[in-house]
Amino acid sequence: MFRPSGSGFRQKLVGFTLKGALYGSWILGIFPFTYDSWTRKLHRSKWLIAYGLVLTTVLVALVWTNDTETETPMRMEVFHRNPLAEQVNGIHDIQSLFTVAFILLRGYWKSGDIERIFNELLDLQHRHFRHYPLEDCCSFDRFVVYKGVSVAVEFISMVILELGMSPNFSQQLLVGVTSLCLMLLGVLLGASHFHLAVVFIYRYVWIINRDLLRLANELADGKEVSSDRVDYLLGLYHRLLNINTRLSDIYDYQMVLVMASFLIANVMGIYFFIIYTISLHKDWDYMILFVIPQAMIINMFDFCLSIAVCDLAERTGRQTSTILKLFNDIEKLDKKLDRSITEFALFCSHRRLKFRHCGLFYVNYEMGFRMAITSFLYLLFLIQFDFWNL
Amino acid sequence: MSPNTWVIEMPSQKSCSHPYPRRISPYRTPSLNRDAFTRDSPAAATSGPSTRSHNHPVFEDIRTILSVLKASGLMPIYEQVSNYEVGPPTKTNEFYSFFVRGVVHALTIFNVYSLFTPISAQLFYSYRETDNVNQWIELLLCILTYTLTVFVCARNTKSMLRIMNEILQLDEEVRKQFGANLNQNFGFSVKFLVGIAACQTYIIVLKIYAVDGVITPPSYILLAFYAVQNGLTATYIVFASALLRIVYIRFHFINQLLNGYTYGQQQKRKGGGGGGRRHRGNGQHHPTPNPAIMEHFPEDSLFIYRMHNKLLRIYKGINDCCNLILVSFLGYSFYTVTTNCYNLFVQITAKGMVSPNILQWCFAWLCLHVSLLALLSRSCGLTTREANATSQILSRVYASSREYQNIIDKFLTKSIKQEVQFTAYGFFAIDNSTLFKIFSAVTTYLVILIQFKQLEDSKVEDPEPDQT
Amino acid sequence: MAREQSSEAAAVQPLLEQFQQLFFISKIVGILPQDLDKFRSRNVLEKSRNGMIYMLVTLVVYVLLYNVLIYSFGEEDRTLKASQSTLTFVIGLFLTYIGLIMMGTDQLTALRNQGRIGELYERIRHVDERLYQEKCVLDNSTIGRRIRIMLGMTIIFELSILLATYIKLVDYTQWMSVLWLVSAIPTFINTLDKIWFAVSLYALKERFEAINATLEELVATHEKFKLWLRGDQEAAAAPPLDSSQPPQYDSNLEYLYKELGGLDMGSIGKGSSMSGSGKNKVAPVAHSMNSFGEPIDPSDKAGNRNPMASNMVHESELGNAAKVEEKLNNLCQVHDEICEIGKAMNELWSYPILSLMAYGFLIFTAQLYFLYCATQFQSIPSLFRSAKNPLITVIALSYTSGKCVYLIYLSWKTSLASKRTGISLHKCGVVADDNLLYEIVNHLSLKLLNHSVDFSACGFFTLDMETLYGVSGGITSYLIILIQFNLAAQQAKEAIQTFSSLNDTAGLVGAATDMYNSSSTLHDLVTTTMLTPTG
Repeated sequence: MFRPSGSGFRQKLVGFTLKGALYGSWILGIFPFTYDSWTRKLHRSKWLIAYGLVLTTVLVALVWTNDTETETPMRMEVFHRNPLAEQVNGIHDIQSLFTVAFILLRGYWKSGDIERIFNELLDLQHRHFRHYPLEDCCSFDRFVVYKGVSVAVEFISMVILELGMSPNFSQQLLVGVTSLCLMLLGVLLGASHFHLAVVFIYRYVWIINRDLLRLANELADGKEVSSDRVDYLLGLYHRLLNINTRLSDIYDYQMVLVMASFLIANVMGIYFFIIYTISLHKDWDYMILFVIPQAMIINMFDFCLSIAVCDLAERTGRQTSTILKLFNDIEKLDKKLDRSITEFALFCSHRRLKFRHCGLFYVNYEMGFRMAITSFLYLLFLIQFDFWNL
Repeated sequence: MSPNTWVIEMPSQKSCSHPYPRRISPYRTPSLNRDAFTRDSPAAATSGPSTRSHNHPVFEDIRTILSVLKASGLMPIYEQVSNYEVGPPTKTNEFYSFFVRGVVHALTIFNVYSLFTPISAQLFYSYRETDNVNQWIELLLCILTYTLTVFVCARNTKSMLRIMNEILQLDEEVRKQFGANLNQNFGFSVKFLVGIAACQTYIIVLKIYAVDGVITPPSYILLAFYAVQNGLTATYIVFASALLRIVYIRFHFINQLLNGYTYGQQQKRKGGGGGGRRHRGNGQHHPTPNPAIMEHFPEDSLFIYRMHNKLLRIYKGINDCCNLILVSFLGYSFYTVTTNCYNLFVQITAKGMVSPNILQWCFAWLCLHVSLLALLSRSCGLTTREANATSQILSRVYASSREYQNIIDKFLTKSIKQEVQFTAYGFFAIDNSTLFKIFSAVTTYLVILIQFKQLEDSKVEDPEPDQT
Repeated sequence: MAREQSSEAAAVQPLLEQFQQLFFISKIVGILPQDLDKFRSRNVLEKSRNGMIYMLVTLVVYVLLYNVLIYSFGEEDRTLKASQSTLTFVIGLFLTYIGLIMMGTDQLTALRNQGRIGELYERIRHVDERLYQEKCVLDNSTIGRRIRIMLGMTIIFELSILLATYIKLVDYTQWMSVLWLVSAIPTFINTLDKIWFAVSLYALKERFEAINATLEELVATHEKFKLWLRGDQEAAAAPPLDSSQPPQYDSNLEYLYKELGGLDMGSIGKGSSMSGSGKNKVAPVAHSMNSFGEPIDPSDKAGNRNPMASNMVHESELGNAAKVEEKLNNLCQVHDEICEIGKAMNELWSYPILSLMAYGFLIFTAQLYFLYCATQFQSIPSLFRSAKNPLITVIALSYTSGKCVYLIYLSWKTSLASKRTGISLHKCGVVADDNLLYEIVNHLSLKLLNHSVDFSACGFFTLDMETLYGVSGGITSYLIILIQFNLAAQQAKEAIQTFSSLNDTAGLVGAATDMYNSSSTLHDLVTTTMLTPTG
């Protein structure tokens, strides 16, 4: 599954990214599975779980003892001017800590389900999709690489942010920052597992679509197509949808928390930026111009990516029904084939490839747009409070 | 990152493009008459394509707007291969478009430079700080929108040509099958063009009068280019609406075709002219009772299904081409409408300093943008409704034989919960309700802006006690 | 009351017959331009030039009178403008004219539609005929009653608001005060127009329900038939007639009714108990009669058919696929036709509904806002003087909101009733348990899925409960914003007054700034305690 599927540079890059994610997760103890190459199955390992727990506890303890939330003068200035900012910042800190703990604990708790899902994906890959050429699914490669880049960049930007904001370096600070960033990396990798799984599902649905399209073309050219092929595809589609539902059930709380913390971080970042530069009439120095905006832009990129991947999968699912419509205008369709296609169409209209988090909302561009608008409105309200405070 | 990464290929139609004999017979053409949308007399329509001159220009209906877009490099200057096909542009023309785009980008860079430096400061003369910032942002947004438009257009040259070719191919098929000529008067596009040009000129004249002192050449360039940018962006929106209208006419055509088979029409035809109680459709009466009304239904339905699929594909293609442009235009337009409403509000409520200049300026902007928004949302809404109406009309076809019922079911099953939508990059659907949503959003932001103004006012009053 | 002569049509009572009083009143106040004589003699709405001229004259007169009213009562407002914030004044001016705009929209739309409304009722009559052929007869008399109730309510509300305001809040010693009566005209005209819409909508809903009932009845008959076939006839006849629904469907049905219909079970059962109880003990007969046994004109016809119906009972229609296909097809077509009528009706009234909704939203917000102003002893525009008295405000608000909510509710119910037909159809398929019939049902339900009747205001928003929820949320938030503005303006005024009084005493400037600061941050909800002045 993590093997590079082709020989081109892009494929190698994808393989490298996937491997990097795998080994990184193993090292950080958030992927408590061992791979048995003989049976092609993942097995949950208690030792890895214990290792992960210990590692996380150590990291949290390190962060706690080497308090990186040092009283930087800039922060204090902002807080002095605007106590509301301090409160919101406190809320965000608590939320982040909670997110970290929750993601890790839920990951361990649900590891049995995750194991089953991954095994099923491996099984699908091995038994059914191995025979299809996988090279030309560009979006898959692109999204995998994007995700890898975004995790790496996020890590770097976090380091820059933490180091750039503090005026004096000490060993304690370095230890604290390192452990904080490692913890963050763990969270990001944990979130990227979901992302990667979605991309894989997307690729399988894409393959099914391509196959259906090929069938339609063959029929249009007057060739015979047996209904078994359609039934087979329907079976695969059904399994994929099941996996998808289970997957989003397991990861929904984590993803919601991660998204919320991204949004809060962005709103807070812009808010601090505005307070610091406009309300406090500070000079623009390199730090202000570079450190905060880069962190914000990378945050936004990651947020967009997590929405875009779900939207991509959803759109591909919708295209299945569009492709099925192509079977409409074929004359003299075999009765059995016709029934299979009708079944497929009915199945598509009743169950869609959609990502629903916590039963609250579907993740797609529409939702992302609404979230962006809402956070903009919150930003406006915060700024109004700030103005009132003058 | 185009949202449609998977281009749905249609099954190749080569082998089955003529699966059944053409029916250009005097019997068929009048029986399902398409007078509603053929302006030409039936005689001209049935005479077939052979009588037409070969170099009869395609897309004649919207040629004014096309020529404007071609001249500004937004559309490729395509070659016409035949009556139903356009080819890629020649090298010289391509180079011309390329050159124009280069000039545009150079001007853009110059303008951005002058916006960020004090050269253009004299254009922002307003008495209030917030207004100047607003206007500045507006200019920047306009530049951004137009640059994006140029980029997207340059990238989508090929897909645009493909869409045009598909439309033409579809026309050809319709013509072969039914002898119908799907042209309609696109007078609105020309009217809008004139309106946009007039509005922009008016705005610029207002602006020039409002600035006191001598205007420097960079400011002139900035203003002129600003007007051109605005005008061209607006023109592109009108073009998109016209394209949508073209698709709408095609959808309407197949819907009308299908409408001939609905029970209402059947009864009307059976009952002769007497059953005029049900006034649906275009109210055409065919006094001659047709014994074999449903005879052509299977072939026609196949044709209709194929047309519908193709039209959907064209519709999606247009959506993909215009996606980003529409998003940025809607954002820009939203911002402009909000700030102008706000300015109007300030002007009306401020005591004793109503300036007619600003009032006219605001009204001109509001007119332009509101009418464009209305046009866009209306054509999107119309087309979407027509595309979704096909299944509704099909559900009105009552056939007695099982075979026909299966044909109907085949389509209906596949269109359960498959509403077509014209979206702005998936962020929101554009239809009639978009206008309403935009205006409610404008109200909300207006309130926030007014609150900010009150804060600003109170801050202005605030320091006074200190000085006294 | 002359009827059309064809025997088929005579059986169906035209819907417009019930609209006599409403038409008469609307004609007098000038809402409908159609010809009065033709309506009286033939129950049709036809264009008439005289009516058009009369309507235009009334429109002009109303507009003139209303402007005179605004002018004569506006004298109090002149002083108001100086004293009050411009925002309040602008809003007040806009609100003054929205009623007039609404009335104008109503009348002009009626002028525009004068030809098409008649057509609409003609189509409804045609539907009734077809329904009659399918043996379901509609009772239009409830509609007449409904119209009378609505008219009565309108008059009571209008009069109570008008008189209470006139007596309590208008200075009636001056003769100009009589003009106050004019203020009620726009709302009255608007309400009359909306009664037309509401009642027609209700009629459509009844037709949908009739279709559903017919289908349900097919199911019930077939159930009885099956029981009868099995030979336990006694068991079937034993339960009382009112609970004629088959037991195994009972709970299921009730749930569906609650969910979708709004049609209570009693209303079906009533007819059967009235006409069928005495004649025969066999339940199916009684039940199949209940649709013919309505106590209206066609009762004699139905009486003729009764024996025939009772003979047919034993071969339950659902057993015969070919025959039932015809019937189901017809019902589906009628369903589609009603949906189309609904769409056409919605289109005819789309602008009036939009303006009504805008009016309702604005007036509701404004009335509450002015009520708030009045409790703070601030002056309010003279046309909204009813807001000075909470009781009158409550009446006026319930009148306005009643109009809007009833329309929305009815549209929602109608589209639900139309969607319920699919469920009823499927019940037929399930009960019959026949492959052929099931295919028919499948085919037809696909068709039904595509019959959509959604009521919307110009396509801007649909009229359903969700919109109602959104609108009430909108009203609340705008009210809060308005009150916020009001508070801010008041505090600014107070602060200026305090400042000027303090300014006299020299050397207390610093104190003044402090005062100002603390008062201006009163509405700052979060950071009140952590005040850190920078100035």
